[in-house]
Amino acid sequence: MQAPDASMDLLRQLREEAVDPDYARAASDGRATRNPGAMSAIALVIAGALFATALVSTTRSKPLVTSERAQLMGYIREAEARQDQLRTDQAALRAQVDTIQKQALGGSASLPALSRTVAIASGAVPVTGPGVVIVVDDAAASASVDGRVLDQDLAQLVNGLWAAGAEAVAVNGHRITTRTAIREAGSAITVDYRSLDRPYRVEAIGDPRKLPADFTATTGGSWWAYLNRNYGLAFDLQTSDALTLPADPGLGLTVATRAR
Amino acid sequence: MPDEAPRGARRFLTDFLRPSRSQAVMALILFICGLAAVMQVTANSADAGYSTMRRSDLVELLDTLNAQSRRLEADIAELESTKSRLESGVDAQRIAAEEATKRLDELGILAGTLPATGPGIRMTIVDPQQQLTPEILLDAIGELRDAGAEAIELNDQVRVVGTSWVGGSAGALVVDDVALDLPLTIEAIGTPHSLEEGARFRGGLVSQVEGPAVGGSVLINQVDDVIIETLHRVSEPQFARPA
Amino acid sequence: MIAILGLLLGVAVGIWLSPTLPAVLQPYLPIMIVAAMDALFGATRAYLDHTFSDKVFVVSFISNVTIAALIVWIGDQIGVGSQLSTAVIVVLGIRIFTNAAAIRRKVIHA
Repeated sequence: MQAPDASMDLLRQLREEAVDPDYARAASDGRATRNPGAMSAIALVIAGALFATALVSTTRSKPLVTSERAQLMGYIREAEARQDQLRTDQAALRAQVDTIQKQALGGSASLPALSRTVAIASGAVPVTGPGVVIVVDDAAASASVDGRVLDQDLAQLVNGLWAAGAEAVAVNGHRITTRTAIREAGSAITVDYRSLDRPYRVEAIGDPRKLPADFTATTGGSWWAYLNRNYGLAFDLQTSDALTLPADPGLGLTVATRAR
Repeated sequence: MPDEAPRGARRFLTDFLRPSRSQAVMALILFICGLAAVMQVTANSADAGYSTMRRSDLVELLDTLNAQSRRLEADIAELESTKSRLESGVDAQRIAAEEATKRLDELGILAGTLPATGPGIRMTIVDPQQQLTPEILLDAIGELRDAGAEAIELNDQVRVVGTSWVGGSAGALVVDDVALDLPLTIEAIGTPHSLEEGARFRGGLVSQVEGPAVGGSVLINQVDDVIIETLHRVSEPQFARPA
Repeated sequence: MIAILGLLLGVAVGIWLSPTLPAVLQPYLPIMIVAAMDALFGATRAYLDHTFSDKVFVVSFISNVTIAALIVWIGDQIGVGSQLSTAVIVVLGIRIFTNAAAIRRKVIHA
């Protein structure tokens, strides 16, 4: 009759025979030498050399690559922090200059005022109003490319919102303007050269009663319906009474001028 | 049993108020465990975004970040000089008027309400099999913007602005409710060679149009003086107002 | 003691000369190290139990290292290299822990 735990024999054996049973046998035969002799010493030297070789080869080849990566990521984080600071500074400075300008112009009525419409349409001023908030994210379970939100998907989403009549759109707090590019760098989506954190939050100001339905009818809407149904990408649309979208800092031109 | 409960609670209380040495050691070990656990979890989640990027992507991202920062720095320098000129009081009104006009022009061009001119490129896309899809055009506009395009015009028919949308279907492209004729001409104002490179990079517009799926051809000319005269009709916002 | 000196000497020689193992053996180095550690822990425990034997140690050391590398090599040939490597590490790891616990009991009486 087998012992009840015969199937656990392997583990029991591992624990009970952790020391080579030959030691016990040698001891009972009276051949135990008790102290390590010359042969053991040689074996130990070899063991030591083996350890050292492994140590040396691991530290030697140990990247260069990983340490350079870490360095690069450090630089990138610094650059991002600096850029955030610059954007804040620029926005503050812009506001100051605008105020001083207005004061200096005072009662000068000869200059056409900046049309509210142009200001909002170009993205130069922060705007507020009702609208919709769409939150999208990668498919929960999947790690493959198919389950990821791509820059093209976000671009289609924004495109659909414009087609549905949105008046202002922002992605993760970045206002979308004539000069905004939604691209990809590696596996991170970037807007205005800043990488976005998931989940992606797209806010659009417009008619909260008509936008949801109108959006669904656009190519962007059906694009996302397809992604949601077939790849499990997360998609959630909510209406909102009061959204505030920031202006696009650094909005300007370098080579284009007004044509007369 | 009622007797044990107060004893247990009292023991708990005395242990809490006068910890023995073993409990102090236990506390220290658990403290280290907790610290290590939190550190590991935060370290795990921190670099998630960049962990899958290749070295060349990281370098490219760094380059674009630096370029953008330089642009912002130049902008800030200009704003500061304007500010000091305005504050100096001398001729403040004239300077203010100049700056205001410049700003109006800039925003007008960006909003598409003013015509624009400058160096740039002119692209002609021939699509004999009518396979050019709205997705490819949307991609192309995104690439141009990424390459620094400041104003974009299609076929002398449509001014592309921030709110522009691309729709329709292959061979029947529609932008901002305007049906586009073929062949498609795209004019963009910006740094000519950056714009051309933006269109030609691997996987970009040129490779997509000239690939087997579309079977078309793209002609790109760098031009010193692109003139964009089509204006975008901006309708007054009904729901958005300045914050 | 000669034993410890021998080990330290080996480590020193290894670091000083920085030998590179032939490329064929390079991938199996980690497994060989773990097998060597298993033999060493077993030997230490036997020493503390007063049952140490020179011959047994050398034989067990060489056979452990060789057989572990051989098993993983065969695994690589038939395509289950990493799984077999994991299995070898699990078994050797359990033995190392068991021996370490016994050694600890003997040394610290704790």
